[in-house]
Amino acid sequence: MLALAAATLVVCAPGYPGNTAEAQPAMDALARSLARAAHVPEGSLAALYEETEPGCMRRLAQPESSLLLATLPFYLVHEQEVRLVARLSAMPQGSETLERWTLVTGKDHPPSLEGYTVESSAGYSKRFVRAMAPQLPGRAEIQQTSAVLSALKRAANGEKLAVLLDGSQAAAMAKLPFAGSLAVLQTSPPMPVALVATVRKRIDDERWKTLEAAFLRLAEDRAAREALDAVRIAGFLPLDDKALTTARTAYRRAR
Amino acid sequence: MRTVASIILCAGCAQALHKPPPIEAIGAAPRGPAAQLLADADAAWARRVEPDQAAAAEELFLQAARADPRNPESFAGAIRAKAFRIGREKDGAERTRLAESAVIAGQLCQENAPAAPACDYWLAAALGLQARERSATGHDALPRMVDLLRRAIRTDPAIDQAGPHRLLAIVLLRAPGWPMGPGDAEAALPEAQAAARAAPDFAPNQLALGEALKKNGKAAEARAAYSQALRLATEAAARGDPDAKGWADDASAALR
Repeated sequence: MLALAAATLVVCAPGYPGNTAEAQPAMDALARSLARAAHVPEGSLAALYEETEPGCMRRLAQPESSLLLATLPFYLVHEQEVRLVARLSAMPQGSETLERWTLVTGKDHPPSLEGYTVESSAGYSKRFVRAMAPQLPGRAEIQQTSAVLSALKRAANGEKLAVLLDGSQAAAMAKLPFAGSLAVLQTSPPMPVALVATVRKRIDDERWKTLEAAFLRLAEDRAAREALDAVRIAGFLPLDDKALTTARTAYRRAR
Repeated sequence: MRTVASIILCAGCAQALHKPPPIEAIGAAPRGPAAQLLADADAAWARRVEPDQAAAAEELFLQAARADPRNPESFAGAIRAKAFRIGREKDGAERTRLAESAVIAGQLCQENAPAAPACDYWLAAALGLQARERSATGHDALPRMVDLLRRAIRTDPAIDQAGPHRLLAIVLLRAPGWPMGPGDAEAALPEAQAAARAAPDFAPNQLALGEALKKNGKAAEARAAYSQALRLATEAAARGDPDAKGWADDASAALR
């Protein structure tokens, strides 16, 4: 049995609902399952959820925060600052490990989006939005929103507004009653949805190997399945290096 | 990621509604005429901060419901009393039992008074209580709550101090967003404004308005609403309203 110092998996999803307290029971179950799969004592792993970017950064500053499960925008924004090393892809339930980001606006839009505002759940990173939609005019204002459906309605009604959708939002768009009033402007290449990363080399390679095997076999364990269901993750898979490189390149080129 | 963000919704997702038991199963046989039971229940409810009075009110409301199942006020009173008890109950299993029984009362209300908007409103409230205690039911409950509240708004938006607008605003503010759930802060704002317009002197309406304004980036207006909520809660406390302290605490926390 490998003796691990208490390591914390920080789960970050800025722009989405839920909060640390509400998520804690599911986080505890996930940490227990992971510890079992890694054959390490329960309590040697902890997990917690943060719904805001500053909250995540405060957690990641703590020395026990050695693992991160985060959305792609958060990962790209903080990859260098927190010295993140991407290790695995997380696969959401009913989805894939990769998704395309889609820029949509009202059907009767002008050829240029000059003067438009862009809203997105990833709008906390303007650079990420530009990376996913490189044709946006340089002066387009970018805003974060958690009210994506209202934003789409306003775009469909002719407001000078474009919306950058993630993969599940784009997939659901066709079912909207006003979908016919929307137009797709741009679709990104496939990008990772979410990643598991190690933080600031706080876990050495040997420890990571143990944990990596645990993450990868988590979905095979019936008891762990319940913990994964609670966070709506189907499982963890090896990283798609090509897709991550594509995302990283797009992000670095964006300003 | 909406996977992780949806934790409040789905822990092995469970159905929010089941076939309710017969009305005879929800409370003791009536020990008097419905009108008298309802009056006694209201009297116990007025003393709800005293030991066992909230439970006594609940029991009397349920007896009244059995005596006259077509009167939605009895079911509404029972659900309100269960909600009050949940707020003060430390035992998680008991809170869950109370929440599940509130949903059953709401369903029986709908069965026996199908056109009554109060049944829609109080069933929505009960589903919210149940989702808070058993998060697995949330995914199923949230869209049902939105439908019930929109129907109540169409038929009687004034129930419980503009409760349908207020509760819908809260659901839209706190639920996961599209496409996973009905959450939409922008859509919540007009609902909170409607509640505050209809019953401006009810502190919870100002609290909901403050939350909606804050989540729509209107920080100064949000502070004004929270300040108003604190003033109203303080006045309500001076009048002896047992719910006022909770409202004041929420307003003070939001103003910090």
